[in-house]
Amino acid sequence: MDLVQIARSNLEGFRYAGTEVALCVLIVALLLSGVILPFRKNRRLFLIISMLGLALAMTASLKQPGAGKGVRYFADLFLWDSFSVFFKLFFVAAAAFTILMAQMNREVEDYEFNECCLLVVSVTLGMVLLASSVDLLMIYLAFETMSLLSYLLVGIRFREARGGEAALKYVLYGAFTSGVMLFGFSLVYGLAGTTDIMEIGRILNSAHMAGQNRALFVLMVLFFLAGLLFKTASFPFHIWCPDVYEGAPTPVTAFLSVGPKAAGFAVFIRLFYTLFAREVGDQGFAAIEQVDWPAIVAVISAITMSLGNLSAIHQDNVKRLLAYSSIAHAGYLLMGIACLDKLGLEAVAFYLVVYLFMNLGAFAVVTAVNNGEGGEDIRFYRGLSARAPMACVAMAVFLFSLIGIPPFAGFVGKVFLFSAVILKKYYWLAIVAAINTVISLYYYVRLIKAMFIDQAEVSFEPRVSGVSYAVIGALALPTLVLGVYWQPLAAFIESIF
Amino acid sequence: MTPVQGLIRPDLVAKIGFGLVAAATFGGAIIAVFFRNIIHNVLGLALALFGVAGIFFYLGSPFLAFMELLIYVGAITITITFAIMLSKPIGGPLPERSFKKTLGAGSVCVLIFGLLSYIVMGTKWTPAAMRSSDWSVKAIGQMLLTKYDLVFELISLVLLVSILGAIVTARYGRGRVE
Repeated sequence: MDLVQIARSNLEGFRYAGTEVALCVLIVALLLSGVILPFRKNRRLFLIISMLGLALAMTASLKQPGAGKGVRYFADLFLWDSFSVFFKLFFVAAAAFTILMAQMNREVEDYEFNECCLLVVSVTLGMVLLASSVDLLMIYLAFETMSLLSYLLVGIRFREARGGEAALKYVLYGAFTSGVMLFGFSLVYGLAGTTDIMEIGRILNSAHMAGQNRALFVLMVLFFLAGLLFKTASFPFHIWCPDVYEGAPTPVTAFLSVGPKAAGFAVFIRLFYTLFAREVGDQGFAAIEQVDWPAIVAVISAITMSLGNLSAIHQDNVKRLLAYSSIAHAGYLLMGIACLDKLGLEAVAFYLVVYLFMNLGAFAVVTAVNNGEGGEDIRFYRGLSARAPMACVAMAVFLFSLIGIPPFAGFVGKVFLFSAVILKKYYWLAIVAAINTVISLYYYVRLIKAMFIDQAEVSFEPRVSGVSYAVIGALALPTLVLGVYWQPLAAFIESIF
Repeated sequence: MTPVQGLIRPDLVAKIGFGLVAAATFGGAIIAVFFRNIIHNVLGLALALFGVAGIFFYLGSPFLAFMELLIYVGAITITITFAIMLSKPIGGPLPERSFKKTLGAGSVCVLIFGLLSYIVMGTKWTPAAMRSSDWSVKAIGQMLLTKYDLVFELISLVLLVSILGAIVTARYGRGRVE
């Protein structure tokens, strides 16, 4: 290909890369406005810039590809299809809520707010690239963009002992697991001789591979899982999660629990359903013969949810409690991936959207409580309903939704997941998940009881500002609405797989 | 042909060269693992990485060999040395090496080595698609600025934000000293 042709095809790619371009422009705008000294501590300015940029990114991703397989762009490194569009919208929304939460949060100091916005947007860029890339090289680079910058985001309060420890733990675990995953990538490349995952998928699923070494396939799957299970905070790479969630500023914790986690699931689906499975019929997939990875994922899912829920029972620190709850939810989501059909994937995507609202909502309330003289300990939540009734009601909505009680959105999400699992005849997994839901009832309700029934232990003034109420309300509304009127979202998600 | 040229057989030179490269890799690794002085360990690691660069050279990829030298020998071992210098004084009494731990670590390593070599030997690998037979630095540079220019740009963005992050985390007591 001659140079003019390459340049032209790259320029053509910008038609599909609206989100990425908008985010890059936003990064530059934040960088430039951050160096102007008089603006240094102007939170409102950076908030407005970020919101404008993210709104631009949101509108740029709204354009839907029609039917068919989507369009490749930027030298075939990226794919523009409804799957990537869905996740782009998801990540941009997560970033917007995070920056709103950070704006009202006092853990992030004034002089840090610009960097906080900058890092959140850069991580979002990494996630957006990850959702649309279909080339091993690009997937790894986007994965690392997201990871490296989220380590920094965790360590933004590096001088505080907890922040430093959290960042260091995150880096060490992250570096190890992504190294192992990269080794897996190199094995796949060696076997297929190309980095294009669609091409690799065809080669790995073809009859040529029948006589190949089965041990190699097992090893490849395990190596891939290392990196992906780390990002989604699943067993056996979940150990970093509570410490990192506790040590990071609350908005950052909230962001990690939905953004990179969902990105982990997005790339999990993209890689495993392209490389190690092929479409069979209209609704289903068949795994490659050499290794029964859905069974491995199902077992990991059962262990992850049980471990997360059992460890959450004794937690008195609300952020640690939500960390274990997020491990448990990773377990529930893995059930959908183990199903190996479109119903399972749709359930995962639906649950992720619901999870975005309810989990960010719970963290938004934690942020609001932190802002007064309160803290993260459950002591501060005892008798809180007398002083901040609206925040407590909202928190109860988020927690009931996390348990999966009707009429909240979490219930609908769980119904989709459970029905996918049961239709696939994974009865044991459904039973484990049901038992886990009951266990989770205990610790979520314990927090609700503390807020509404217990006597106040510490008297402090929770300062819930108007903006906080607006953010909490904006997250509570979808949690309620999706619980009774989920049809449009379900229909939209059905169209992406 | 002069008599001297006749004496040097290219294949023999190549074999001796490869022997040296392998010896450097293996010897360096031994030094890095078994010696008790931590500075010796780092130097051993540097030697091993030199050897790895040599192996890349033998595999016909001089670019990767140079990168290995530049990044691993040049940057990473120096960073490790700095980290050692800044952490604690060297030369104190060393704790006894526990035989049990050595045995455990050794057997895990042997197991992984066995598994990987079994897999590497037992697989019919597919050679990379020969889009071009030209793997020179020039060709790689051209690819980086045409097909992979977005990758190139993204790496620069990551580096930029990482540098900013390093400044943010390293600068002391910002905002508190006013």
